[in-house]
Amino acid sequence: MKLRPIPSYLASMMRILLFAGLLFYSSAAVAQDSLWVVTEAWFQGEDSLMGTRFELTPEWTGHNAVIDRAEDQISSIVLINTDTVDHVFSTNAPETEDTILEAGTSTNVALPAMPQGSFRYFLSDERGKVLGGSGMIRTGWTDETLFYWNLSDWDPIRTLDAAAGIPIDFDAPYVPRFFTVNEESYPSTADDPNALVAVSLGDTSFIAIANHGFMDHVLHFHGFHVIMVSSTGYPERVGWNKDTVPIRRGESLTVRLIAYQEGMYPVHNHNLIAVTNAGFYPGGMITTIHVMP
Amino acid sequence: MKHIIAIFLCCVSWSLAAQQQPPQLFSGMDGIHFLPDGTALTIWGYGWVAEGFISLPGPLLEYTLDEEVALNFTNPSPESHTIHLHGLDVDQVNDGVPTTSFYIPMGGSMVYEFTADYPGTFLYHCHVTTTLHLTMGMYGMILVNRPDMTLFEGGPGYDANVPLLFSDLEIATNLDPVGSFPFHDIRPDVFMVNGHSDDQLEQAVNIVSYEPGQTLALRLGSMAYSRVLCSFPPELNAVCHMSDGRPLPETFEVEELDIFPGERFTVLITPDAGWDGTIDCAFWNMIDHQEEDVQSIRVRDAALSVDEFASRAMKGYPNPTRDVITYPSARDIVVWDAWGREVFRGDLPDGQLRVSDWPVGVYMVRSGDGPVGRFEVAD
Repeated sequence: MKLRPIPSYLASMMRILLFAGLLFYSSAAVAQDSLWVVTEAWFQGEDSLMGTRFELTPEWTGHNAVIDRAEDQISSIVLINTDTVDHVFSTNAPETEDTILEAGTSTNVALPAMPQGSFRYFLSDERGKVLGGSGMIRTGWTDETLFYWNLSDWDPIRTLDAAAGIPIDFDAPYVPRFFTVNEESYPSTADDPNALVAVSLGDTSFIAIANHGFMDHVLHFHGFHVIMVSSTGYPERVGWNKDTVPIRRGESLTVRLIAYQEGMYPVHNHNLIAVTNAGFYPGGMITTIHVMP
Repeated sequence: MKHIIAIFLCCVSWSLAAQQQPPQLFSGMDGIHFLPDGTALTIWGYGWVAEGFISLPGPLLEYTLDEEVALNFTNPSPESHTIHLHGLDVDQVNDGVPTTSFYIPMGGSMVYEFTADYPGTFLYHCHVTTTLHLTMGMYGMILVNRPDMTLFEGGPGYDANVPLLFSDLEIATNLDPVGSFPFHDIRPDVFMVNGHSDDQLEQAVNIVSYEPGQTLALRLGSMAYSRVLCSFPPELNAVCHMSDGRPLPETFEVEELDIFPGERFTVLITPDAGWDGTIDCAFWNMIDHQEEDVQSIRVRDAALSVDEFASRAMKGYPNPTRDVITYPSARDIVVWDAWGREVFRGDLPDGQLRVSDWPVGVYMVRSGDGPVGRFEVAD
């Protein structure tokens, strides 16, 4: 069966009703975040794609939200699925269970106690995954300078098919055309204050990094080594001092950066097909560390 | 007045001499690389000025810890290039990224200056249109060594370095770099260790040979587009001590090791006496997670090595030459020029190849299906 998109005025009304309902609900709850699952068209250069995002409001920004939680404390989150299809919510934190988010409803999801680190939350159903509904939970970070890089790779055709309800053939060759940090590709990454690490000489900062894509990624830091302080994929590497950091698909980690020299230094994927936009170099998964005097 | 001019000229010549050491490394876009089946591919890359040819990978650059390095680089090739000193954390000026530091246009020369302040394994590569220039071959390995042959201060000692640089290439791109667009669909089909594949790795020069009791420092680094998964047999007694030019907080015994593009590891091996086996290195595609190829690094007790001379690269003398080069093997000779064009095929009845009317340049030569050698026709 093909799913038909609901008319936009109905979708808007649905969001307003859900929003009003949530306001009532929130007044009874304590310190509870809420995220809206929103699907819209988005663009990379001249390519049009479809996307699903976890947004902080019902409005589409195109960017998946990053939420912060205390270390080792259970919490919860309200998820409002404004889509016309059900989704499945998952995380890569230990001891979480999948939760179904029914279309057009809000669901209160329990989040387990998590150690200090960076974790992924995401839609694990086929459509939600291909459309990129995938953000980050940072746990246990207080007062530090925190940046985040949500990494992903995109095949526009797959996103259009998934949004149209066409089953994706995952055995077919995957040829992603876009590679993003926080859903932006270079040079737009320079406009994102979380992707661009702008710090002062001597600062210590932390960068939460998650790979939401279908590929393994590996980031190379020019000018600096960074210390691994958390890792879901390579927990045995905590404490390693690296300039080239692999983040396998589905994994997340945190690194500590000490800005010990001034200047502009790129950070980029060292799988060099991923530093392109639609085949053009430079582009894709490149951002910058800018250390000011 | 004459004295003033003389002093001025002395000062000028002294300062020029200080600033302009002869270029050591150069870049080229007209190199040639032979695949195991004899296919000749164009490569871009780096070479020693003193040797006059580029190689895949580029020359191994070795420095001593705390050395103040001035790497003088010249670019006679038709495009701009740089040297990015991967992992050495040099300052912005010397970082080799054309948009944030300098680049070297055609005909230009520049000096990269840095202090080799950490011992370990590093890499270098061109950072101009990196996706293309790197897959065409513009990369090499850098080692920073401690004079006392320990890996790092307070670290274990070793008897010899074994540089092992993984890389890959797509034949279609090397045959037609201009037609390689779009870059995101580059899919390597040749997988290499130190520029060699398959039976090339069985040649004596590529076999890792050890004396019983010796500890070898495997300097593993990757400039591939693939993830390389290396398997270390237990007889090697392999222990990983470093990654990316830094000691690990805790060493670990290695059975399998993933090496992603740009990563480096230092693994010490002390193989059991009499062992002859391989470190198998699987190249996994980073896009769809398919295993593409396995390349095997042969490790063998030196006592088991036989007949090394016969399998070494073909060498003639004198080299360079202007008139004649003489070879010990004179049958079924093929010679290519630096563009991969065949310029001679046949036997040499007296072992002598006459090149007096050949253009100056680097040539590749092979006898039968033996390994390829090089010679230079000089002025």
